[in-house]
Amino acid sequence: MSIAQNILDIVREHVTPEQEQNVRTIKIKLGEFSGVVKESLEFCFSSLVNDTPLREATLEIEDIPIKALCLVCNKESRLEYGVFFCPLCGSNAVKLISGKELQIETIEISDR
Amino acid sequence: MNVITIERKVLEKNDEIAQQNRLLLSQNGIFVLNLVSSPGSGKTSILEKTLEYLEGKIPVAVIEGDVQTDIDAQRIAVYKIPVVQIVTRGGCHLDAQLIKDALKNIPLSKTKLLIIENVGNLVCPANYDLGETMKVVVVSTTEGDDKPLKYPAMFRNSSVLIINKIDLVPYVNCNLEQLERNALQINPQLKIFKTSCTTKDGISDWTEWILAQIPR
Repeated sequence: MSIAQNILDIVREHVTPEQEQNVRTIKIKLGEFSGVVKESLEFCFSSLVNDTPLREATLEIEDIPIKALCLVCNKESRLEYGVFFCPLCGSNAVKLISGKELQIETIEISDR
Repeated sequence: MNVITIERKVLEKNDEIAQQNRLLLSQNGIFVLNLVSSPGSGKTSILEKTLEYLEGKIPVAVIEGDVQTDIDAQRIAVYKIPVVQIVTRGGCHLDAQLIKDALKNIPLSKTKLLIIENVGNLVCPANYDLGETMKVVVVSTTEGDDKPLKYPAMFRNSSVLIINKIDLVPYVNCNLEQLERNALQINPQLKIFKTSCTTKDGISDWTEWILAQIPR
């Protein structure tokens, strides 16, 4: 819930109170390893904006897969959730290069 | 349709304040542990045993996080050290602003070790940097050996694992070796301690390790 509130706070920093009712889509990048469940975030967000001028706004969430750089074979791979082995050489010396994202990308505001 | 580009981290405010806390704490030469676990794994009991062991050796302060009560701060107050209770009123984790406020009531220049006991929860506290030196995740044998696999973010983001209640292994369905293997599969860098607050097994290893981290 506090993450949904943070999103809302950031949106309100970027739009005027008059624009709030025209906000339609908030694009979010959400890493698979961010620790945030997409459905819960959507539910919390809609609960918070309900009965506010932002009630027409919805989250458009882009899932970012977990990718890692293997420090042994130096290759990038996609990892399954919670499995920290290089799928190519089997080493566990892997550095996450994506998958922890929790970021607001854009806000779309209708002209009317 | 008008599109505004934002490209901001949702938790950037928290991260900024956490960095301010980290700077303030490191300027004062304070080593900071953020204790995280599910409810009932024994964080407060480990803290009590740690404070007993460290008494007279190093100046310690404690920040307690709890959803509703100040029971934990009362337990810690008997050690006659600075302790601040944060009651989150339903909030499932501590955040950097709560720690920043709490630090105003800690005598920083007289503190070498600060232990923050987070709210019992293996999910949300993984995302909120408080400005700590490192996270210490506690898991008890009664919770089973599969906890690291179920909550990988917390184990990946922690530097130390304490396996607590090892005296109960004969009575519960927990394979200690499997638990360690599962944890190291998620995070091969984890430093592991095995403790019992009833028999005090492992407490001296853990506290001596803390002392070795603190420049004197």
